[in-house]
Amino acid sequence: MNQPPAGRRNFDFNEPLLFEKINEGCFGVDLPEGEASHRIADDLVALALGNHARGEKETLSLSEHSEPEICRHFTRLSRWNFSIDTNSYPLGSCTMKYNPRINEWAGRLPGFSQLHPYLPEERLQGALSIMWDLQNSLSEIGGFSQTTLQPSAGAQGEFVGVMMIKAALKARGENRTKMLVPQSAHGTNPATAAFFGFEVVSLRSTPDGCIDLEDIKAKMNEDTAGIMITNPNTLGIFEKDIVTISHMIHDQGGFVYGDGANLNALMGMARPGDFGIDVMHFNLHKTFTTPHGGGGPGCGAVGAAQSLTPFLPVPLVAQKADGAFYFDNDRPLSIGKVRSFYGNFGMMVRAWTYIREMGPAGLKKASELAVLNANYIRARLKDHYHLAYQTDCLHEVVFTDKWQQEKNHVSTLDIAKRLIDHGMHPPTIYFPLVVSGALMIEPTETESKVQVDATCDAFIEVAAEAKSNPENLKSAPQNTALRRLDEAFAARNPVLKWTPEMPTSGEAFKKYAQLLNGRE
Amino acid sequence: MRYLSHTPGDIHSMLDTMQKPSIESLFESIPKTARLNRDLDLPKALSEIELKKTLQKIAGQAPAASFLGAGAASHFVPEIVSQLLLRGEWLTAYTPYQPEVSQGTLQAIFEFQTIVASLLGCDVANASMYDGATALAEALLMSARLKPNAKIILISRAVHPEYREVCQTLLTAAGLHLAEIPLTSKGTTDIAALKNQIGKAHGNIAAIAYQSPNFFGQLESQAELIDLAHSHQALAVVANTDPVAFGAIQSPGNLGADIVVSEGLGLCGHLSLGAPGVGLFATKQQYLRQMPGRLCGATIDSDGNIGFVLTLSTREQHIRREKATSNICTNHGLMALAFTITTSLYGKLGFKKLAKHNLQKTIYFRQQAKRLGLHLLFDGPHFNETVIQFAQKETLEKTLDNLQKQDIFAGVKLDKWYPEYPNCLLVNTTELHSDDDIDKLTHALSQKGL
Repeated sequence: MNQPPAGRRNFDFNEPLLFEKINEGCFGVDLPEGEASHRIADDLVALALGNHARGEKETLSLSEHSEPEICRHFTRLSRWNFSIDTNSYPLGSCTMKYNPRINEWAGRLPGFSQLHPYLPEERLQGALSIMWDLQNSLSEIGGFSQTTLQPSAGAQGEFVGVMMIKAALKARGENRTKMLVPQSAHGTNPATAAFFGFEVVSLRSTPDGCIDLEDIKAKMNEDTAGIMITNPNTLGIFEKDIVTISHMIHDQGGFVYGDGANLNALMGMARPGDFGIDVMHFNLHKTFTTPHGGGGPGCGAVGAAQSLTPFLPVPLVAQKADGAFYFDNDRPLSIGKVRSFYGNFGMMVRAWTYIREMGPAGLKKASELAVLNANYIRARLKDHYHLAYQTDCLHEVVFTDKWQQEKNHVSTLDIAKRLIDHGMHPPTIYFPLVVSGALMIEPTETESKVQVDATCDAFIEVAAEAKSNPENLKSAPQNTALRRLDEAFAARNPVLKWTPEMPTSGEAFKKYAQLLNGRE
Repeated sequence: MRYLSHTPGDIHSMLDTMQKPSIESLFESIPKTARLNRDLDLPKALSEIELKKTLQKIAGQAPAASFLGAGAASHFVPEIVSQLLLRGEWLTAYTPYQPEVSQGTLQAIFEFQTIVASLLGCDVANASMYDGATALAEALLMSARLKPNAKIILISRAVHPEYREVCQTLLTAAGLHLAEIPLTSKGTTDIAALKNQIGKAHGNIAAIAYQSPNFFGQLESQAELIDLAHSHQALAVVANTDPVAFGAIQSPGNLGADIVVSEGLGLCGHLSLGAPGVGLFATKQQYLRQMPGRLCGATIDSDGNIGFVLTLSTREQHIRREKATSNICTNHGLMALAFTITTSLYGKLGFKKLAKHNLQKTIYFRQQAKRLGLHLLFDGPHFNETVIQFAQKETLEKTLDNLQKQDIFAGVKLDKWYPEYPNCLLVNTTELHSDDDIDKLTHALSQKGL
């Protein structure tokens, strides 16, 4: 086998499921003993529960291990993960930039991390000042009149944004039934619009990768609530007609929803609020370096233009004349409360820390270098992979597998899996859906030139290998603990939890999974 | 800037490769009318030294003592949990879309789903939701999908008030009607009144939702509520705000509940003003395809070894787009991991013991409170919350003020959400409180010296 240079072998352990290697009688937490309360007898405890006590037969699928064993289990598992800390992670649309550790220190300060949500406001002034600052900083960065920090993630931010649009229309006595969504949009956009009962009207793109103005002209009318737009769009291309588009929508009484997933291209360069976006969600876990955590928690703050601020969810953090901060729940037009308590405060502290450390010049520089890195990759790879669009890109670039498919029957999936053998995380693949076999690369600003060159080299080598030895791509990855996983089998025969009957060998497992799902 | 490594030489040579004159020229695709022609108006950058000092000052100290629970009860989480979360391989990985390089996260999710399904007593659990409140709202939306002709959801007034508010927001948006089930004088869901409501709804009910232990810490008559739902073709949806209870009480799923949700915040390690915690969501196998959120499943790789992948994504937004079961995308992965590590450390034995300690502390608190003449508003079967009612508003306010001066927070006042319970304090007692802490509290509340 052709051994690529970057991936090296190292200590790596098989690690069974927690429940498979029970150490009977073991536990990993010592609780205090010896106080009077600990001597309260079992029959009194049973009395407190009435007839609600847990039954003898109600087993708990929990492990039996000491702390060192648990430590080792989760340490070993962690080593099977690729992460930003490991190497380049150019997942398009996800903004996998370095997550500063000072953020983690800040989030763990006891004065933040041990705050109960129902402490009196006067005891929460520090936390409230962080929220107040962050609301204002995000408003400034995005060009909005007011920002809420309530939504838990981008998708919930979108949900809030569309709900605000619906509420604003209702306040005007209008019931519009359609929402324009470009074909290149992230899947959450149509899912959100549909939830609110909007008919999703798809917009086509022009050959330069931008929204077709003629198509908007034909489809925007007084039955249409507005448009959901990502700018730069999912191809990494700035919607050059955005100002005109906003006017077209506003002229017909509609609203422009902005998906802020790609804000990393724009900090200090352009502000969505200035180019006509009425409401937009930020992804603090993308642009503002709160950790991705293997899939969250995020924070999907939502900025709003003046026309929509009355509809923002409650509470907002506000300031009294004497300078004290408080939770403002007295907002009669608000869409209401969208989650418990006050949003993912732990993530707000981290984002605040990042913005404060970067300052205005640092944020602008970050966007400049993110765009520089993406364009450099575009320049270095454009002779090796088919560029989806010739239009200039900003912070990310989309290639396709067209050339590899045509000549060597090698697909985007094969290319992605072979990149893993080069010690790299693959880019986002098969998205946006409008591009066949898309490979969407977003390097971010925190990758050095040396690293970006290494990333390009890996892509180029894989492209060369596609010609010389396509089998190497089709059988990739070869360096990982597990080889290509059968996702179709998983979906046909869902096994979603461990049971004592679950076998540990692959052959037996297949039979078990099929039997479990009623297949002989 | 320490996070940025490009030297002027790097930038120059990169621009050369691209045949571009300047970084500015890369932004030419943004029309002039859309550009920001000034600097962002933000405070200038701080170095790490300055930043740490600033943050320490803003954060201040943690409260000296707290008996605040009300959906955000703290539990003991060993230090190792936070330390393990700091491993970059957990902290800085993305959603495991490429399973071959994400087996760590995927196996941990599979373990999480196993633990959650078992705690809630259900067949299957998902990979996490944002929090308990949105998990409940998603559960009720799912009920409505399963009962497409029913538009009413009945929800107990003893469900956490903020959960009800969130459900109100999200369900109203979906065109559903949320009606409240009143309470008995014992602080539990009024089943007689519920029967009456069911009668009036003429089979139009998608779900009956309650919480147990409920907001006041009282245990609901689960079997009866579930039966009632099922005998009227409605789903029984159960919320819980402290899964530690399931170390001692019956799991709703084991009693036949259709969807069970909970909030894992207290076992994640940091209250952080209430979030991020983790929403737990579990249901019956038969409803799997209507379940929202991500799922991890076991499968085999091309060598025939067992591994894990995200699965059944045909329910999700990135495949189904406007036909998805929910728009959820990012969930609370890292908090799900924290929850998995904590519950694994406690383990089978420790988890039951933890629940027992919570009960013992609460029994102790109640004994001492009664002995000192405090009035317990509800005295039925309970877990770790107690409602103390004061004769006068002034006494309650003065007591709380005095305690607050010592940075002690005795409980959550109920009148904000329950005007029918004036001068009441909801007090949470857990394994974290020593007997001494509790003695000080009961004496302060009863205005008697120790």
